[in-house]
Amino acid sequence: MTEERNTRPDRLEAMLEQWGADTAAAEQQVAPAPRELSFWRLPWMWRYAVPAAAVVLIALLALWGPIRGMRKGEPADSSVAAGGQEDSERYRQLRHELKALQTRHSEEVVALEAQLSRASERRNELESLVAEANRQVDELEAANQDYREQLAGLVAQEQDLAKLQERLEVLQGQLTRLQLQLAEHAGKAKAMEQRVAVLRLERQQVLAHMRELYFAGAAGGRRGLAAALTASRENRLLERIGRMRQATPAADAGEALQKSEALLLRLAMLPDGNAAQASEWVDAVRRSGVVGEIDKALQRDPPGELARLLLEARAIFTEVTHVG
Amino acid sequence: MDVEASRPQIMSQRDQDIIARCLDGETDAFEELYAAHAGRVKAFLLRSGFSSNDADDQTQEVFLRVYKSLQTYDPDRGAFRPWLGAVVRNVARRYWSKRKQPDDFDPHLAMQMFAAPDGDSAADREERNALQQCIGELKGEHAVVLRMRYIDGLTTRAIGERVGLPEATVRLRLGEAKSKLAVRMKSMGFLN
Repeated sequence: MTEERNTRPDRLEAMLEQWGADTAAAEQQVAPAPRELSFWRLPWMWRYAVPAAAVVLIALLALWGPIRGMRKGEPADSSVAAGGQEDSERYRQLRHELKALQTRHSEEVVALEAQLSRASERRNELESLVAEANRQVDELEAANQDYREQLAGLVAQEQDLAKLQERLEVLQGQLTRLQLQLAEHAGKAKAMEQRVAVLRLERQQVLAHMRELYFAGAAGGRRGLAAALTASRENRLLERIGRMRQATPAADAGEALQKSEALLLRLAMLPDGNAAQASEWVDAVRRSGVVGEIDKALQRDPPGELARLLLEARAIFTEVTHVG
Repeated sequence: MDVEASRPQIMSQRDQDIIARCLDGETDAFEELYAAHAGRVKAFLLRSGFSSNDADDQTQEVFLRVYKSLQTYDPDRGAFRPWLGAVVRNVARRYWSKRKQPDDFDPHLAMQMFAAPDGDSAADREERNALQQCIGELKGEHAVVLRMRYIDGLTTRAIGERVGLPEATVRLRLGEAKSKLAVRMKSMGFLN
């Protein structure tokens, strides 16, 4: 037995295969035929001398009885009668022994049948135990199968969970990036709002400066309602707006021009020194939202003359309402 | 199972003596040859799916052919058992297609019957006896599947059908049986 032989991984398998082959062969082994005492295999002397000696011996035994009777001088009939009595006695004795044997045999048969019955019962018990064991094995097999299926289900769920965790990690990464982008956009929006506020303030400053220049030229530097009325008359704003309204599509600045024309007409018709009507006019300007309409029209980048008219009207209205 | 009865019949030298006597015309020698190998031939046929009656008939046919062609056997070219295996295969080949369940039997294990015999040293005998002892110590369920697999030459699927178990369970039991054998044989110093 060498080390290499023992360490071969399939050594046990080879041993089992050899064991199985040899055991199968041994179980099917044919017993060698017994050597028969064949007449033709005997040596020549035994083949002929032994039968010849037997024949001679049988002949001598056959002749021995009559020769002995003749020597004693007894008739042959008396020996036959005596032999008949002995045979009868022997026959009765043999019958008695046979009956005793039959009785003993019957008792043994009864005992063996009882043993056989007990063995049968024991066999039935063992068979029921085997059946019960087989049933338990089947149940264990079924339970094992269920366990394997559940295990397979758990493995599949674990795999799904791992995939979901990977997906969650990806989504968390995306969420982090989106949060960063949102923060960046929020910063930009805030900067934009600040920029818009600055622009709005600059625009108000520009418009206020422009209004000062306008009233400085048209009303001699006066301010308030009287200045607005004077500037409107000096620059014939009502007539110019009326003409422009007729030449301008309603979609461009029509609404602003219509409201401006109506309010400037009411301004032109205000009686001098009537503070109540002047106050109503100012309220009407505020309620009409004309300043907002003018701003909307200005945002559409109107042509030069229209823009000039709108800015002049805006200066008049904002002078009295202080809106915008 | 009797250990001595299951011992491999290592007979290469004995085979040569018997064959020499057969070739000298001794009819007794052929009876010895038949007695020594008929069991293995029948076991091979049974392992290959033949019925018992067919296996008996084909065993007779095999030894009829052996008797007629024994003079072609050359001891210098190999052991007698593989030569006998070739004769058996030739005889059995005509009947392969008649097997009812050819997939139930493992052809590798069937041909293992006629592998050249291992040595018959004292160590070999001791190892075989140890293996037999270890198998005898196995539980019934393990011993049964081991016997069906390696003695009857059945596939695991066929074993499962015969004992009423799933094939996976049969494989599991075979694995357990071999593991126990390996551990025991290692403890006895026959495997490393």
